[in-house]
Amino acid sequence: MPRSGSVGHLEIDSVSRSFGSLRAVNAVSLDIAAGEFIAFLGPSGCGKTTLLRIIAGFEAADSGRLTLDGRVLAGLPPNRRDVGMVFQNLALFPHLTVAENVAFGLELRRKGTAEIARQVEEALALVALDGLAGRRIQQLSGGQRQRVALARALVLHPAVLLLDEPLSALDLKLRRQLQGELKALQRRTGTTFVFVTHDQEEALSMADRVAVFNRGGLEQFDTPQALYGRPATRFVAEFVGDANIRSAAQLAPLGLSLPAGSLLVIRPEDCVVGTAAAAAPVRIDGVVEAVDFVGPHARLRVAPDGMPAGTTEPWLALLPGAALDGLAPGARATLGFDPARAAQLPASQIRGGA
Amino acid sequence: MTGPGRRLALFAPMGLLIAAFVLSVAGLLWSSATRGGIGLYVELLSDPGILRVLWRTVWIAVATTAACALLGYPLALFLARSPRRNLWLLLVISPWLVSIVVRTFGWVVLLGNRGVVNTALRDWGLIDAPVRVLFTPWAVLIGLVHVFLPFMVIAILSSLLLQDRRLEEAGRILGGTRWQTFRRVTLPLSLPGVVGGSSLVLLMSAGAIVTPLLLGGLRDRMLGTQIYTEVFQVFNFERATAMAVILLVVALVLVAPLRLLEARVRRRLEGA
Ligand SMILES: Nc1ncnc2c1ncn2[C@@H]1O[C@H](COP(=O)(O)OP(=O)(O)OP(=O)(O)O)[C@@H](O)[C@H]1O
Ligand SMILES: [Mg+2]
Repeated sequence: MPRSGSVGHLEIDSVSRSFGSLRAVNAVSLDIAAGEFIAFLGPSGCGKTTLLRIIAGFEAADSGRLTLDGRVLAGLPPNRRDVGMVFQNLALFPHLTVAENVAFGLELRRKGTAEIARQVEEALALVALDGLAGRRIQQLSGGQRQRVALARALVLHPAVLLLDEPLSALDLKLRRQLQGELKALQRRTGTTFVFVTHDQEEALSMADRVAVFNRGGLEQFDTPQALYGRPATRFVAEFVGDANIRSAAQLAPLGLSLPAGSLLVIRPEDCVVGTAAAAAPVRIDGVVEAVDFVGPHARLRVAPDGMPAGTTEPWLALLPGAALDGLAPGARATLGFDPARAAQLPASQIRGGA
Repeated sequence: MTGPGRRLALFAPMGLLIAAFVLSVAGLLWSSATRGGIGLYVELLSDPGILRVLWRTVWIAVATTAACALLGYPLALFLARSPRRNLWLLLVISPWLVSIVVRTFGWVVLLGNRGVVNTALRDWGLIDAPVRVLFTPWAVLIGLVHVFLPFMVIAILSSLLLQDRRLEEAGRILGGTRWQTFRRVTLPLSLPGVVGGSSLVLLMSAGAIVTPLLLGGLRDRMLGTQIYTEVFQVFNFERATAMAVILLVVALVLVAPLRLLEARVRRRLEGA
């Protein structure tokens, strides 16, 4: 099933699209390599679907350039782009059976009956739906429908497969299971996947690289590790995982000096509390405000001393559950961290966010 | 009100309608059986004049339905896609604001031997003698299509609007041209609307009275006009009753295949 390695190189070059006065997609540039698993991540309304629909050819870009393996996509209708799509609501044909849904695109390509039957069978086996070829769509569970939609798109071996929040309608357990299957499927077929989600955990765990969007603009396009460890903007630092974000002015009393205007991003899991904090290079004394115990670990909120109530920005710490040891709301505690492990946002790159 | 009380209140008007319908049909059948008997039916159905009326009724009703479907589908599709749908819809149903007599009489003015169409054609030198349309079945057909087209458009439009537009997009991204996607996705999914609208138009045109009376004249009658004549001109209630029963049977026979088709299409769509 895999295609030759060089198929599926998608270049998006400063593509924009407005609806009235709203900039839904604002000068976005992305270079997606063949065979990559890309996630589009961002809050609701940031333009993810719009960009996907531009790639598919359902919307036209106002400006910018799209090429797929060197082919300019502008002006090509959706049926001639060699792009597949799994819609958010799946859009399976209710008047056709499972096999007929999967065969739909093959029939349009005028393949022979035997060839179609063989490929449909292969595609259904790929998504583990072998026995259900004759079922009607209404007779399937949510997860099974999901797989039919995948098989219907993958059977055509598109150069790029676009997936618009394909798992958002499923319950958590099924979701985790299908995330794994989807990832395995992508590896096996070698197809370029562009996967839209607003679930950061989903994006980080599945994608080779993640594009983070905010208000139509691209904030950062990087590997999950880089996104988390070296966020490029305040928005990314806040949107991807939890973070303590402090300005130079806030850190000066702690004996830390930063270039004026820049920010430091300290992840909660890089913070220590209690006796362990004694050895930390930077220490803050305060009062425990809240404790969320979730089994393997606990989330702690510590209000630092010396600031009037209301203006204090509490610190977040993520501790192993066992390290909690007597820390309860109201208790005094010392929180410490190592600035060497924190990421710094230079003044020039602080965009978006609060 | 809650529970059964409320349900009763909601169903009471419908119950009245159903009761009125059942009673009137039962009364019709009863009076036909007691007053005329079988002999009257034999007499009617062996009368070549009546058979011609029967045949004319069937073909005009079928042709009206076919014409409404053929004209109505593109119109409904246009309405479904138009951003100013409500404005256009108003235009489509605006004839309902005018009495059917007035609307039909408009066609008399248009189609008569000295009507607008014939006069214009003669003035342009396209014809020498007037084309006789008024008081022929063709005029009836034109009039019926005009009167019933909105019903067809609305039936088809509602099933088109129920369709998820993503299904068409799925058809396109899977490699379908606009036409292929229409034929394989949009059209089959809108068939319930077409079949429903067709049943409606077929029933209404088979029983039409005003339009065939005004545009068909007294020679080329349909069953409805025939019954009307028997009642108001000949005062032969027995014959009128028997013909009403025949009309009922004809209507049922005409619509039965459509209902079967609709049931099949629905089963297929809903996967029962
Ligand atoms: N056809 C349209 N006409 C007008 N505005 C639109 C249209 N499509 C999208 N928008 C607007 O563009 C913005 C981006 O929409 P889009 O659907 O791309 O967001 P999204 O990132 O996919 O959000 P979500 O996560 O909620 O799906 C939104 O503010 C939306 O209201
Ligand atoms: Mg969306």
